Amino acid sequence: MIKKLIVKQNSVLWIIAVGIIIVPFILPNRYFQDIAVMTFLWAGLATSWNLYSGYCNRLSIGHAAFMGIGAYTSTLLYLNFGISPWIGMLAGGALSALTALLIGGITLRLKGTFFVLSTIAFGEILKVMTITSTEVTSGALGLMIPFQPGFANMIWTGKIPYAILAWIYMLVALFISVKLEKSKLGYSLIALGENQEAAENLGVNSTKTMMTAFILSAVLTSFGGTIFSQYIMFIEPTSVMGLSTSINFILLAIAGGLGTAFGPMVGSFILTPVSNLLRGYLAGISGLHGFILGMILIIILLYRPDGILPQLKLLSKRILQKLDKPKKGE
Amino acid sequence: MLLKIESVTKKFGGLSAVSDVSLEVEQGTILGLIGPNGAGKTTLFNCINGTLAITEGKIIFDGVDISSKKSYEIAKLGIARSYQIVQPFGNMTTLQNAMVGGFCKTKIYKEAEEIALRSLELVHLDHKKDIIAKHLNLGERKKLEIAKALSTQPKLLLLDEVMAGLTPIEVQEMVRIIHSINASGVTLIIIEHIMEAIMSLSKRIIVLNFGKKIMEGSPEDVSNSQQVIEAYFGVEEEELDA
Amino acid sequence: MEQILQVFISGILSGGIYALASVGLALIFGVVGLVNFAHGEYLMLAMYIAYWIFNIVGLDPYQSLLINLVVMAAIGYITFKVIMERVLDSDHSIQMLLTLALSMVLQNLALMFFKADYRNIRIDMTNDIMNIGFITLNTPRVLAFIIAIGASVLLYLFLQKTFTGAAMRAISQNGKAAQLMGINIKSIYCLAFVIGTTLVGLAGLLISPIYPAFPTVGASFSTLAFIVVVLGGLSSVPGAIIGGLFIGVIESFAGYFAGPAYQQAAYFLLFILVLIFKPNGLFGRS
Repeated sequence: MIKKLIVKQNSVLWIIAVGIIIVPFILPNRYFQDIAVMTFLWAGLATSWNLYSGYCNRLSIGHAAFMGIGAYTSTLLYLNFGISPWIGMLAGGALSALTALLIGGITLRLKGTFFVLSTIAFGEILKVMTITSTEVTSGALGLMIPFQPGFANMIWTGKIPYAILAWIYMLVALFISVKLEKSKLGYSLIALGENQEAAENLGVNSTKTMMTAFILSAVLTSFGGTIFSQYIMFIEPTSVMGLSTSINFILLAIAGGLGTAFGPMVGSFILTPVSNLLRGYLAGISGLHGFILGMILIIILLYRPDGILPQLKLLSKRILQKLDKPKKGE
Repeated sequence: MLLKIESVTKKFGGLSAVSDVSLEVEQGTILGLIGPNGAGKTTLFNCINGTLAITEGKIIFDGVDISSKKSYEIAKLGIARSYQIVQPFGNMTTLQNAMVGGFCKTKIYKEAEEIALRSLELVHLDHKKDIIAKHLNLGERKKLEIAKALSTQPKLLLLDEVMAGLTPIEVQEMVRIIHSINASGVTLIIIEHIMEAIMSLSKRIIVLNFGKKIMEGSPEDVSNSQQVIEAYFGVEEEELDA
Repeated sequence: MEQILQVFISGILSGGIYALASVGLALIFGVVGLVNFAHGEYLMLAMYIAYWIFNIVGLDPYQSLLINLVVMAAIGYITFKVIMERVLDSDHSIQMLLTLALSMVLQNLALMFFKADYRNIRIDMTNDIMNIGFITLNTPRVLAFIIAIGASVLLYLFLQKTFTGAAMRAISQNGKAAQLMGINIKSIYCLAFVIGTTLVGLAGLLISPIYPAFPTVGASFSTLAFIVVVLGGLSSVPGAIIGGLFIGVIESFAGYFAGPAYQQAAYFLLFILVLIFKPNGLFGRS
């Protein structure tokens, strides 16, 4: 039984991922429920980012651009043409896929450092374009979504529906990650991240593999952007496309465990509540919140670059093994 | 003929690392490739499997011109290679390493796993299947190199000095492994410095020096050839004696 | 025509500063192999140091130059010893994320202590102009340009003419071979990092009379410096100098013809074009 548990650590993580939806229902007020929504949403976003960058070990630091595409597409369609954000979300995803195809075509063949720099450049270009196209996007001022509750508008009065939506989003991203880990695409991607030439010699088509994962990651990130904009009901270029947003994806993923399916979720479950509570309590001192997050990231990178999840797995394995021993003696 | 190389030349800048080499490999055989360091043996492997683009010449594999194909396409057609300096995917397990190759011809997880397990068995590494590759010792890594390549289910396998650095007992085991791979129907080209091993494996040997093919013949012909001894003379004499 | 020339000269003047801000980044990348995303933050720190010395002691940025540079060198040294030295052998992704985190920490530290306000240093010279023929130039900008180019050229000479400089070039070209030659690699790494942070600090100090200090001022310069070094071939110091001047001119013309909002877009576009067509840099060797 216990041996099976060791093998089935993923099932334990699945139980946590699915069971966590109880939490927002038992939280006392809107403030804490808001943190729960954000935790699920960021978990989904970080998991989406991880799909390409984590497994392939190639950092896309401009990835928030796709979140921005998702947020702006659905919002603009909704505001200008009254199109439901549900459809807007799909449209945003399609546009993100197209953008990823275009950007990927140029950047994916670049080697390490150049790739990372090029992702930043593309992210910044998109941000500058959004800021300068004031007639469409109202530039740096941002866009406000009017409060008209209704399922079709993806707007609700309470926090619970948002929590459920963000949770489903997280589960979808998670499900895709787990599937990826057990697929040709996943194996090829990880192998490419470790040694591109050796992988190609084993029949891995690096362009196709990277492109597929990059597009998948972009589309999922874009979905998160739509959910984010419908929840906050206000978007502006820096918050949905800025470098700090991209860094947050990375922070959560690496805190939990880069290139693992459940790592980004674990990272978000721990850091998003901490971060939000800090933001709440330290609101008086601007900068302290960001300072602490930066320090956490530095400490993780210096002392636990594998993240928390492998540590947790090791710990649970040891505990289970200890529990196992007396039984054998009987 | 499984593989036909027609006057292949590979130049780096002005220098020819491989110049005007032609050779043929018959289905089911083991061809030995020897020569002093820097003779162009590994470069020739890189040309065959598409890691390097050839400058001149033509390579025909199984009736298909692969001269300008990319390495992943060539792998799918059925040529696999091992590296002289082992290239494991360090953070994956032994089985996962082999499975990357296993996915070459299938998309189904279970099938890739079975193929990979079979290759691990063939190189006697199945008992280490759940070990993270970076924790393997050199002998095991060499075996893993072969298992990865085997998992792509090749018709032709290129082995680049898989015995270098191994103990005499490990060398004997490796010779047996290569024989069993050959027996399973895979054609091989092996680069090797350990003469005893190559003599016992190949019936035909090609000698390269300074990028040129200087001789082709049976192990006896080669070891008696004055030309070959001269090529090695003073450079790697001791290895010829070994 | 006169106006075009004015725009061109103005671009060259900015370009000198960009060159100085970038040579350190190229040096650190070439020698230490680190992609330092926190590079611009050292520029920001130097601007604040200049500001506070000016406000508390009353020394203008030029008078406090030496103190400022010593402090910047010390900060660079501490950063290297406390953080960078630990990850020299780590994965590139880890190194990049670490410098990214460092930039986040330094920016927020500045925000905590100095608030988001823009802080200007107004010295007598700030609005001085000089006329050369029909061209009007702002004196602090000219001064900044001369010192910046001087310092960049000095760095180049240091790399070419001294033993330590030769060691740096050797490491930049082939780290392992240099190790065999008996060069103490770690101390060379450290020196290169310190020189890099000090030079970008100098750039910050030079613009402090004409440009306000605020917590995120370094970020825009970081981005710019990255574009410059990519144009220059990533690890080449002369490449970074030429790249800096080039970007300055491009930016100036883009601002003149298309409006200030498109300045950034212009050099990002250039950056992408270079990545597509000349991934080894516009002035880099292949």
